[in-house]
Amino acid sequence: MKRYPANKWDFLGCVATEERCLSAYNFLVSNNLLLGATFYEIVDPFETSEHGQMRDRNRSKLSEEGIENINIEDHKLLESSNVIISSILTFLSKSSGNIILDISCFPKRFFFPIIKFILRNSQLSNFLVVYSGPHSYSQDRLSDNPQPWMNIPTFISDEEDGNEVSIVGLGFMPLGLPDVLGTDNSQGKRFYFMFSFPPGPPFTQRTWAFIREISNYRKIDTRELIRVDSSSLPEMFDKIHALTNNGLDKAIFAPFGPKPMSLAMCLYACQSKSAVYYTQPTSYNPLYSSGTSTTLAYCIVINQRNLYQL
Amino acid sequence: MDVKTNPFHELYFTDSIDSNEFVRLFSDVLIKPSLPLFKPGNVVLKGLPGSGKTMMLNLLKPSIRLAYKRANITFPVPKQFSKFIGSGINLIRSSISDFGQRPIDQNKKTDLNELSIYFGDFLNYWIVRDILDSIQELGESMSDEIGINLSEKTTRNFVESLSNDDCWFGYLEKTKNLSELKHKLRARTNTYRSFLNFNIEELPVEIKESKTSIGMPIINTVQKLRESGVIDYDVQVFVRIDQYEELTWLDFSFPEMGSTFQSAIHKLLAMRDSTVSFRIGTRPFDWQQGSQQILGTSAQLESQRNYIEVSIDEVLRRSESQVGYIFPKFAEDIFNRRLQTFLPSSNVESKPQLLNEVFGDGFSATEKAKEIAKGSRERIISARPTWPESWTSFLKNLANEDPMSAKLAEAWALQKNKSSIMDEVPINHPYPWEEKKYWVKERTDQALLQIASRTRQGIIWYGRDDIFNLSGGNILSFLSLCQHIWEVWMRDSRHVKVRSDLPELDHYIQTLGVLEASRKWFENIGSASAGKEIRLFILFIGSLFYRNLTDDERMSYPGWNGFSVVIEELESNPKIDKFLKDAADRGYLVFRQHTPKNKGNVRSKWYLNPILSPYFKIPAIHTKEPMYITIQTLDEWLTKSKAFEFSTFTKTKRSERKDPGQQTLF
Repeated sequence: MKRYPANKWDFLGCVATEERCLSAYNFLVSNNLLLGATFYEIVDPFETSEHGQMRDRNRSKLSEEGIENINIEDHKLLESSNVIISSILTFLSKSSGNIILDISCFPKRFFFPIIKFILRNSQLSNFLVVYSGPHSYSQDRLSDNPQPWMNIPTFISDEEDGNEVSIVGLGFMPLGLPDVLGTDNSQGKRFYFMFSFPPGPPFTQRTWAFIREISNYRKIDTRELIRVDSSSLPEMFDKIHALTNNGLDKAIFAPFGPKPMSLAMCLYACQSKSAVYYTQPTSYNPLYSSGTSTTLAYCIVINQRNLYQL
Repeated sequence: MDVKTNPFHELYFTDSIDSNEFVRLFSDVLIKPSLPLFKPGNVVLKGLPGSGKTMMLNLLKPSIRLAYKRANITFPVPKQFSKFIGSGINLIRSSISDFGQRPIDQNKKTDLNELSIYFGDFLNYWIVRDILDSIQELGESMSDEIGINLSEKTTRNFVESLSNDDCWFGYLEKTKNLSELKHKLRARTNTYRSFLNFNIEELPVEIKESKTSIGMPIINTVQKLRESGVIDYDVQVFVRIDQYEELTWLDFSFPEMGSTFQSAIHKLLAMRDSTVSFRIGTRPFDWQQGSQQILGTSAQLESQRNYIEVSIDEVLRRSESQVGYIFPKFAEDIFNRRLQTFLPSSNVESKPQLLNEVFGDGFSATEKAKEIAKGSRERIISARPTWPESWTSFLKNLANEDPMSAKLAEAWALQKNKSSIMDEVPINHPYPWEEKKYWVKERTDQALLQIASRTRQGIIWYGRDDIFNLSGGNILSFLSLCQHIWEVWMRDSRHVKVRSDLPELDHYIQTLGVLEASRKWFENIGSASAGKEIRLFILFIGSLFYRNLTDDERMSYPGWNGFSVVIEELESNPKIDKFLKDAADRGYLVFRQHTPKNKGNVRSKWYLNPILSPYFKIPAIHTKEPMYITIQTLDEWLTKSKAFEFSTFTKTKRSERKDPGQQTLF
């Protein structure tokens, strides 16, 4: 952290059921790097008391071990975009311009518009996105009850004409995606599937299971599988740039893959004004993951220079 | 034959709108029962997922119409009903569902009435533009067949007359030509989209001050198209409203927002103006459960008065008499078209009974029993110490000769007032139970299940009739079964050298394929909305039904692979009622009206979707009386299965022993 231009940061994270939601925060607190922190506690439409108890446990840890200037906001997963955006604008209005966003446990419905509005902020000096991977994922289903295929709030294109390159991130749970690939006039379209490589077991099996599932609805040509290092944000961003004919072709994104892959899609979509579609799950496994492996930090804006521009 | 091609690989092909494939794969069997779709008047098309409703609605699309023309294939709609223009809006993809995500006026609280006016305005502009797009698309090569005249004079008259119409409140004034008109229409919806996605600060004043009344611009546009001669007077204009039911998700963003927008759609149907006809595809209970209130009034839509209902499920459902049962014809036709399209070398045109040829007649129940209990057949009999030796010996001998008859004999003797047979062991066929045709028929599947259970073997699913029973009148289930069976055949190395003709799908291949399809359906339940809870409940009742049927040695309850509940009780508990209906709407439970054995309250009976039966090793067919249960029992099942966290009666969580699970090391 010493190499970064700022000494003190404003932190934005999500207090969730998983242990990893506090990993980056704890590190930053222990190194005395935070000015203040805002956490969102997001309640899903379909959840059990176990969800609440696990979030309470992490919330207690926050108040026990954290800094004084901490703010926890209550949110609902499917709340209107206006509530999300009002909240981020308030956060930005109080921010020092040096921001760390922890996307580890943020649903895409939230962190995509958050990043968009952070990048729009003229006072922004430095912006890091951090991601803590879990030690392991649950072997059970991670999420359920998807919404229909719809755009992530604020990520819609005015000029969609059906000729876009569709770039799909491959992950664990293809909720609702097969239906879209089967019904949405997808047969003749240009598709690319971003495949995390090397994923390592057990991710390999689950990612291939994802491919097998969607291939029942649309044949996947091996040339459509694009292997990327899903921890390398610059590589994924550049790959997307190449897939879209150096930005000349319009793209639509379906971020079903690992969070850093979704982050690359988000940054690209912010720049290219591309649409991002998703089938937002509305029920998550309370034991989604356990532990924390490593925390990765990605520099997005340094000294007011956006490193991810077209 | 190309052994690498599975003609059923893409399940949804017939539902997709890839027009060139569509014309080759579309089956016209459903046209006749769905004819109201092509006649004037509003239609609500009801159907479960995979029933074929999207396929039918796709026929209204200009791209499909043109594909028939290009392929030189006769359009399947009867000629007298084929003079129409199809257009529509997808409520989710168009972004109209984003209304409410951002207040129109930042300083004011969300006002649903105001929002619904903007919703209607967006809808008007989108649909009018889509109608004009469709006319232009069809006018290029089908102007004579449909009755379209896009000459300079007619379009000029149309644009002039429409742009000066009061319904637009001046927004389209001074529009010079069709291209400019379409540009203005598109610009308005794009401005809305930009605003709703926070790309512009404010909605422009000229939009705020020219909001249109829902439906009026659509009607006026079509009237003027006719008056100016752009379309003939007898050309019908049909407007599809897609993803109507998904609007209910908006209620999570703001209470009653989704239902308010639905009531705006209802207003279109309530106009009862014959100029334009609307088409809504919906799941059966979703429509029934909605209030159907009309925006701005206390009135509700009325079937027959405001719209006609067409139910594809009812068309495809088998009645007890089997009269008018068209599903086999529909499935056969689709099966034929798949093979013709993807395996042209199989020369299937010359094979009228293709399904029979590929899947075969299957086994009789007796043959299935012999196949399941191949070795040590005596194991199927649970001899009791109190039985006379002669009876036990008779049963064991019979089991070796005819396991099905032996299993039925065992149950027969255990039934009330029939135990005397144990002392008077019959000598010659037909034995007493064999003479009771219906008694045997009703218990055949239960007997097979018990034989399979005792011998630790699986049930055999084999032959055309089994495939139809498992499909349950749903074409997606049928295609899914075909897909997996074909997949197993392709993996099977035994026949590699002789794959020159149609496949030989023996009972091993078919059973394995059916089991894979069934497992897939079960695993995919969570992928539906509210699927997690439905999957838990299905897992619970599927296992319960299996226990019911295996433990019932007397075979007194062969119909206990379903349950029956009093409708009044069910409707008095809205949460449970909605849960069951949602599960049925997504195609995981099957609902039937129930005529109970005794006079009394009206009941409804519920079964698993037949395609889930192999997964739970229970019969796919429904026979005799299901389990009669109370709403309290149903509530208990829902909480025990964890589909509901709390009982709807006591509001308390079920107490159970806590499983600490894997403990952490530190």
